[in-house]
Amino acid sequence: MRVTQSEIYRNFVADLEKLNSNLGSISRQFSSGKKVTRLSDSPSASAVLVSLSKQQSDLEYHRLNVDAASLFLTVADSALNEVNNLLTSVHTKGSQAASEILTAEGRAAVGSEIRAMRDQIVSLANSQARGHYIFAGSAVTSAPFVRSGDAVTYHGNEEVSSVVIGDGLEVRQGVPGSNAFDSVFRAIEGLLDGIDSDDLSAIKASLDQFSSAFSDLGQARGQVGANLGLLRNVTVELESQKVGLKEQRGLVEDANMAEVVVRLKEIETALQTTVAAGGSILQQSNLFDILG
Amino acid sequence: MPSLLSGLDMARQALAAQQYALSLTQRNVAHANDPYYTREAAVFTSSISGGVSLGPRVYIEAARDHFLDYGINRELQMLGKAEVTSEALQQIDALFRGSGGMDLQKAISDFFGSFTQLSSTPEDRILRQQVLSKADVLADTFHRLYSGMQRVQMSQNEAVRYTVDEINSLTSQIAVLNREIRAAQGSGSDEEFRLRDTRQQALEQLSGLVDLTYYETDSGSITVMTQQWSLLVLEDRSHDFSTVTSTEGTLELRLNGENVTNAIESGKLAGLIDVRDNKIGAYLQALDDLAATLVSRVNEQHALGSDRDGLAGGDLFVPFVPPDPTSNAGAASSIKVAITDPDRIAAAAAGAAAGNNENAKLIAAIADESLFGASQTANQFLAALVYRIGSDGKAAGDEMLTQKDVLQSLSNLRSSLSGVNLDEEAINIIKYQRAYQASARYVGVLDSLTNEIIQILGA
Repeated sequence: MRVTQSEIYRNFVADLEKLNSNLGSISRQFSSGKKVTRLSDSPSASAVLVSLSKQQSDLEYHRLNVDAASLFLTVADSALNEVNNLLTSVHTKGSQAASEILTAEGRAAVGSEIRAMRDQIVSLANSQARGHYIFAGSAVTSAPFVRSGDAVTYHGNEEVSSVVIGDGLEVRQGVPGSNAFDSVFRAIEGLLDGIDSDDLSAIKASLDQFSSAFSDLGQARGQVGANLGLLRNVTVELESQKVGLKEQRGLVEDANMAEVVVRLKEIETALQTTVAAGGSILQQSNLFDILG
Repeated sequence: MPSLLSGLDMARQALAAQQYALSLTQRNVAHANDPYYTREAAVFTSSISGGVSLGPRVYIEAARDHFLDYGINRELQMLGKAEVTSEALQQIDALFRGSGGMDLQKAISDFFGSFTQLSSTPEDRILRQQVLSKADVLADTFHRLYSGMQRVQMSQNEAVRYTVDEINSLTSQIAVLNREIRAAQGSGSDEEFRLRDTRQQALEQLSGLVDLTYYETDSGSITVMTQQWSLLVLEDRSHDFSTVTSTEGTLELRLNGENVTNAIESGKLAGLIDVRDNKIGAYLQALDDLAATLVSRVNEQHALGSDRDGLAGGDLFVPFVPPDPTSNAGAASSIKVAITDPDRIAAAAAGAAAGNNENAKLIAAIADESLFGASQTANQFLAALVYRIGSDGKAAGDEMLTQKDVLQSLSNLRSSLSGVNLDEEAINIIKYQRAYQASARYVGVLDSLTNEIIQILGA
């Protein structure tokens, strides 16, 4: 086969062009640390990245909901605990008031102590987090418990919102205030009635009502505690999903640096050899040189 | 038996022949690096008159293979298309990559995510404001991506105009060369071969631009047609492409009075039109479909809820009214948030209190609804578009590399036939030089012989 000089030059240039283009794509991988730097590098990996990005974003928003629900439930939990302690004190004071040793004045003094504690309970039942009345059901914009005389009435509703915290997983962000506190306020109101009328048997009868108040409170605390427990598990789960997604993403888009470095060296070597070989080919003499 | 004097005549012809052959060699060496130059070889024959050889005659033979030329022309057309396609798709690719992931994907996820977040505290005005700003970002991202792709589309359109100018100038050049070659045809002169080289060069440049087929007629002219048999050059007349601006603002092609916009299959021109109308056209249509579907579905769900004040929800986005009812064209470029007061976001179920989050959750869930066909969510639709853009770009890039390889091997074949090898020329020079010297010596010998006769006769 006849080989012409211009063919040799052309092939040499084409080889260099190819090597340089490989070098370009490898050094893109090297500097970005990613093997997919263009959609056309791997169309399927690019499409997978779109769906992985969505999963990561979903996870992020679920985590934000977990944080918000945790805040509401933690505030609710501590309010319920506090109310439980206060109710125990009210009950103790009520037992003192039921004693025959106490004078009418002494009983009235106990009554005002109980009222102070009752007011504290009202304020706890109207607890807010992020400007949101947590025991109001969905009527979150106004205080759910309103006292008039010794009667405390509930103005919220039974609708406690639940939020999505995972695929097909929701959590209720609290308990309706009526379930937790209605029996509490009724019991205290009965007790105060007995104290005000200085009626020992009425006081004793009202103290019996406290057991249902304690049980309602306990049930609410149980629900809140269970949901907090769920959130703790979900937090761990979301964290591990996050790590999993990150790993998956890495597999799809991250360059294997060891491989990239080796490839880079290979191409560099090929480039050097080609340039060296090309140099000597280009300088190769033809008959004209020898003929002089 | 020839006489002494006729021997001188033969020697004169031999000298002229070697000289001529030397001049060919010189021309070959001079054109050694011209890729379109066709090597010339001296062919020696004898001229015989009345059974008597009168010495050598030389004519030129150009080492040209028309099938190779034809093959190269075909590959150039495909390369022209692949190159321009790959180039344009790389720009689209860069638009879609964005920094740190794909902007539109993120904008959609953040928009629905802001509703997920709002569901935790639906009455919160800060979270409501966040929904509005994420909706704004979504609209802006659609606009940016859409106008970016449109810019690439328009630059393809502009390129159609100057490619047509280039084509017209090349076809008229070929027509002129046809006339000149016809005049020089058969002379076997160097001029004819150089004209043919120039015409081949013009033809190859033309092949990169438009699909064509051609054949040479007996007159030496070539007739050039598009693959759809529409005339480009016949004898010394060329037929110009012209452009007409369509109602959509794109340039349409006219050739010989016909609309050939979609009839060009390869070459740069076909690539430009394919990218403009089919590739980018389809991507823009996908963006429009995505935007229109999101707008109508989100509005529909939003209207089912109640806002912060308990009023029925209105439109969250300005409803898209397609100018052309058969397509969503214009949806992505016109998407706009309809409300400015965050209280108007309908996060609650109809008639429910401000703390109700049912509708916010339902809107957030649209992200996972099969809005497109049987089982494609918005995100999957976008993933499919990303895949399409990626694989179109990859296919064009791969085709470009393949075509380059094929062309290189064809060019090598051609240059092995038609190219100039300097060693060969060096040997030719020696060959012709020696023959010239030998003929000159022969003249010297004849001279001394005739001289001798003259001496004898003169004495």
